[in-house]
Amino acid sequence: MAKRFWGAGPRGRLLNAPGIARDAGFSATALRAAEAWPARFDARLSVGPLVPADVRERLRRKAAYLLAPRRVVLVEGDGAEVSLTPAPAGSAAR
Amino acid sequence: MRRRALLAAAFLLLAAGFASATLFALRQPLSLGDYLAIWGLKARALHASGDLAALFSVDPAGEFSHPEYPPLWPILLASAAKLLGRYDELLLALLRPALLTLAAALTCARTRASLPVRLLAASALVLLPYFQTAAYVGYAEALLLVLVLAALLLLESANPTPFTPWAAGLLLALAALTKQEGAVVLVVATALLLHARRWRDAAAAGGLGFLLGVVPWTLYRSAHGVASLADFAPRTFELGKPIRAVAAFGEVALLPSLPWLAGAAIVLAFAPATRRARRPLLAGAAAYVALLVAAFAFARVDVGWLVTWTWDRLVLLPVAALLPALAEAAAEPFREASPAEVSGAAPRP
Repeated sequence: MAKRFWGAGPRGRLLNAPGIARDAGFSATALRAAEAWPARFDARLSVGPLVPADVRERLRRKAAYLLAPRRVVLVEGDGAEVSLTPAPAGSAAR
Repeated sequence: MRRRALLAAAFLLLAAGFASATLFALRQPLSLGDYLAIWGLKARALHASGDLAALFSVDPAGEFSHPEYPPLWPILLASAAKLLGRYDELLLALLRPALLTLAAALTCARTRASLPVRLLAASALVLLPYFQTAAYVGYAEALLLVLVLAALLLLESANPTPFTPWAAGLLLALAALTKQEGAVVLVVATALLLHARRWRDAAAAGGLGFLLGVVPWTLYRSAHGVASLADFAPRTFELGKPIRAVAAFGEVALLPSLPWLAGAAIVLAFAPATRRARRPLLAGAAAYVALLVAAFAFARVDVGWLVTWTWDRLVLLPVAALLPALAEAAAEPFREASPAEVSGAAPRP
């Protein structure tokens, strides 16, 4: 188990860390975006009204951490939508 | 024989406490609570951008990251990550046992007693609940504690050099740059030095601490339009809030703390020499706690909520600072009087 833990590398370990693993799919998407998007881009996090408020706040903090130094702007999505899209700095708010 | 047994017990306690604290820190990468929302967020932003203003830009409305918090801990995390070549939450968690080692060594050095008693004081520090949980790994209090304990070691020194108050001032400045509580320690330490008529020491430590620890961050913060304290404001002053804070503390913490408080009171009650020698420390801890409680009068958020979520971190500093005095008090009935005490000479404060 220890071998698997150390062999996972920083990315694998982070995605399995208790504070991140709770929303593992979302965190993996955010981490991929952090690696792919230019640092000058902000992030737009769309969360639908069907997602509970505490989950929305948790996802926002997680996205901010994983996408830092980008600014994560929370916008109203549709239904149970949870999605991340890049936006030029300063234009993330819809 | 008794000394040897005590020494072995102290070593065992210290080793067990340190091993358990290290295991708690390393069994998972940093990812919880305020680390994710505040300290780690800022450190990652700083590490990725290299720009101190990133501390504010990740959360421009200041909704969850407390942009007003001092920057030293995120700077230290980001610098360590730069040295490692990557931001690796697991490797950065090693800072926790490193800081704990320093805090334990400082507690050992501050305790004026035989080696087993000094080791027992250090063991008590590593066994504090703050260090025996994974919840607070990555938080700033461990660094704050080391800086404050180091400053206290210098200020309590029986043989100070001309540089001692300057070094203490520098450490207090770094403490103020770590958390706002560091600025409270700076105020209390300066007031106690003034009360002891150590004018030069007060000017050096207080002046340097204020000029390096409070002024630069206040100016930088103000230049970026960030308010001083998000959770506190003068316009929300209400005299009853500190009383509500004490009541909330009583509700959430009094029962589990009662045996420890009673034990500390009993130990100090039977140690008049320690009480005399440690009067400035006891007064300082009381003043620090009183200032924190008084600060709740300006709380913008619900005081009960604030106390419930912060009390165990707020009491860490005074409890850890008092551990040497408690260890000395516990040992006092068992030690032989020194010639100075027999002749009635007062110890240096």
